[in-house]
Amino acid sequence: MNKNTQISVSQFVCLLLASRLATAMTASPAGGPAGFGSSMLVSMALQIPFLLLLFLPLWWFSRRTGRSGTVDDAYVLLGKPGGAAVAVLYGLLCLMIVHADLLRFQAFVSVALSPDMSRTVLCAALVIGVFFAASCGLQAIARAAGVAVVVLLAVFLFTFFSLLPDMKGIHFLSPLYDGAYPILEGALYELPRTMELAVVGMLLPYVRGNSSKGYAVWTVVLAAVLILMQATVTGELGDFAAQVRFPYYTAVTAADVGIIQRMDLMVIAVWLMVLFIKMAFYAMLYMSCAQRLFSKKRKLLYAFAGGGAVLLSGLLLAGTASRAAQETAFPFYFIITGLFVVALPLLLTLTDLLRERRALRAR
Amino acid sequence: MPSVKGFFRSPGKSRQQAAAPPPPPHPLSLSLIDNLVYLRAQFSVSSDLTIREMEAGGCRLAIVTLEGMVDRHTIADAVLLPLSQTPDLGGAEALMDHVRDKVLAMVDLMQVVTMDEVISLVSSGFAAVLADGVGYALLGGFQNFMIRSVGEPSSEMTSRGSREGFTEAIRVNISMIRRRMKTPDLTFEMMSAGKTSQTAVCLCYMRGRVSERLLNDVRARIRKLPLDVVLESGYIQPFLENRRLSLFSSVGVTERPDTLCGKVAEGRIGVLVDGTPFVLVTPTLFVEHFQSMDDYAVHPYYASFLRIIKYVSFFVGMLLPGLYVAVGTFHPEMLPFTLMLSYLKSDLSTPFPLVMEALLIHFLFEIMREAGLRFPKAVGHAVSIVGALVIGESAVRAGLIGAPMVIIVALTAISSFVIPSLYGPVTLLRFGFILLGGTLGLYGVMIGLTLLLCSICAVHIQSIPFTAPVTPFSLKAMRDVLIRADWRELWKHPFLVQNVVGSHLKENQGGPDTTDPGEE
Repeated sequence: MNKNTQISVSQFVCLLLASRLATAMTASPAGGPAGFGSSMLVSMALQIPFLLLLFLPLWWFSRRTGRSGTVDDAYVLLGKPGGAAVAVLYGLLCLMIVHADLLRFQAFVSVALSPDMSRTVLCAALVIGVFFAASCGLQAIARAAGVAVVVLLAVFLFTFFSLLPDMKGIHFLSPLYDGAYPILEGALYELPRTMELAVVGMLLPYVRGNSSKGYAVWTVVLAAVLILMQATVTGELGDFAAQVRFPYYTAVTAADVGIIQRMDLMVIAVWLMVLFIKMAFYAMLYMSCAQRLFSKKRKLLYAFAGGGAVLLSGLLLAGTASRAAQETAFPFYFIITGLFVVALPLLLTLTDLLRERRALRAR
Repeated sequence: MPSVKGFFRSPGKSRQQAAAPPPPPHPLSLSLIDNLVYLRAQFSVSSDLTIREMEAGGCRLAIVTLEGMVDRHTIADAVLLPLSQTPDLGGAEALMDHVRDKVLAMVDLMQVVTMDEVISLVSSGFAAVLADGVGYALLGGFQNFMIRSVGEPSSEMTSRGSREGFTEAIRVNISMIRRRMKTPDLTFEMMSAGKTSQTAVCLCYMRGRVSERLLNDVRARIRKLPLDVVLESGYIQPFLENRRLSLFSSVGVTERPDTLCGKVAEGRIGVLVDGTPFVLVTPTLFVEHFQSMDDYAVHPYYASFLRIIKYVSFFVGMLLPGLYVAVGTFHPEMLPFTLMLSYLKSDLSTPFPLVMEALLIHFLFEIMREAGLRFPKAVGHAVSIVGALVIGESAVRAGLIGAPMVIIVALTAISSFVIPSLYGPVTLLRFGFILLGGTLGLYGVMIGLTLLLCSICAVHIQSIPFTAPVTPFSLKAMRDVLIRADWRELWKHPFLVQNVVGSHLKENQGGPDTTDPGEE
């Protein structure tokens, strides 16, 4: 990424929001918390302080280092091998997220795909499109995310109000019906799904304006939208939501608004839009890591390599990797989130502190 | 054959090596014979070079013109006759002073010292006076070449507003702009493009409103043009753009002087090219394709309605066939029951798959449109009638295509003509979406649409985002995007292009009101 190409705070918020909502729209309750329904509404709200707490190491890091980004700072503070290792880790993380989204896409289309359609061709088209969009750069993806988020929010509101007459009040039990534990568990389970946290450190140098404020706004807006989605699901499906694979999709298929008989298609279309943008965003981050590691001129080569790897692994693993492996790898994602959000910024900040003290002693 | 390694290599280096420095200018000699020999050598056996040598004022001189470019009668009466009657003035310098003050006493008199300038100006309709013993030439404008009269612009018709359109003569075009903008801030900067054609190019902008950075960038790009011949503004257009792979251009085109004046007043730069009525406007935003002169002349409610129609037409023209193919092929259950029945009926009676049918009929339509455009008008009408009969009636009766497809083509064709400036991209995208819809269904259409969105968002010129003010978003600027606000509102916050959200050109502000911070 070029340091001159910066995005505004609102674009930063939209980018993170689009990315997180792409996951939320097809989030499966399988392997998730025991509580599902009203308790999740509170869990979504409880995410805000958790997300803010998780940002503290990054905030400290960015204040100390003047927001030069985790990868760039790793090269300065940990030397070339350390920096390269961090760039490799970030690159792999981004590829892994693109890969996971491709699996998610395949899992979803296996439910809602016409039998005449070729899954391989569809995945290939998606990956080619994603890596082409990634080559357009951060600004282009952030601008596209702005449009996508507006459309997405409009669809969410429209869906909610269309389903409102069908919703049953009885589904909204007391959130504390099963005690406070399911609420806490629900909030914790949502955190590893928020993989955006892991790359915020990389994005910081490219955000023009107060990125900490933007992050805070994002947590609040995200919680509000997730509550809206959860309310739609709970009101429409109740406890049945825990039995279906894609609760939000199942809920909207029930909507019937006048001439718009197929609201699920509208939701699929918008979901595909944000999923594409999310994948392009991470593919772009992967390409920037590769550029940092090797030459800046071989963008096309990195796109081919990354795209090929994602497509190949996506097609090979789709048949073998179980749904549980994709959706319930809670500890794995939790460790990854902890590593990139807490451990790495803390390591860099402490290294910076130690360096400063050594320099002071030397004087 | 390029190697695989070369495929991934940046082409910058080899391109730099290929660029050769321009040859040095050839100065005028003191010898008239040498100068005339050089000129004759340059024009070779070209029959239109006219050299009239004569003895005047005790010196030998020559008048050089190009036949058909100058008014022969005026030259005879105003130059040759007075020169032939000039008494001996005692030297070449005195003779040239006499020519400058008494003979060529005109506004566009020029004195040049190189043969390149002489050739360039003579090619533009100037008459050059060269004398023996003088190292310079005097040139006067005696242009009298045939030009098309000012007519109605064919590509930007309006129901209200001026009926004047640009012509091929750059000077006439400049006068049309100047007549509308009576301010000394309006600047016309002449340049030339094309190493061989030396085509006159004029940058038109308003000092104080245009961004200096933008202006320098445009100047530099035109100076560095590697082209040999420039015959149309379209030759220059790609060199003013930033992104090569995009279907959409951040450089607009207009044929209307009033439109250009409006754009220039917003801090943009017009690039007039001699020999074409199509003027380039840079930078152009995506939303400007949906604006026309009519919008600002009619009532804002109606103008807003027209805007919405244009946006809908854009999406219909681009997406409708693709969506129809996708739904028909993979998701027919989406159609209402009666429509599904009629679709199934037509599908069963036609031999081709829906995607082939759509591609075929749209391809035929494009062939007929192209033929109708290139043929003489009378034959063009006949082609249209034959096309309508073949596609609309016979093909359906013969069972080659379904009747719903004819309706789709008709709707698409009409919609795509609503925004003439986007006809090219919309047509190409339509074919793309038909293929995507036919192979990947609605998923393919949606993937294509999102990719298109990213691709459009990547276009910018000198940091001005092509998609502004939609994304990055500016509420104030949105008053002239989806709706058109009343002039009483628009007037309060005049739009300057360098102030759009996301632009880095704000440091060079000017104009009546530049405080448009934008609300992201």
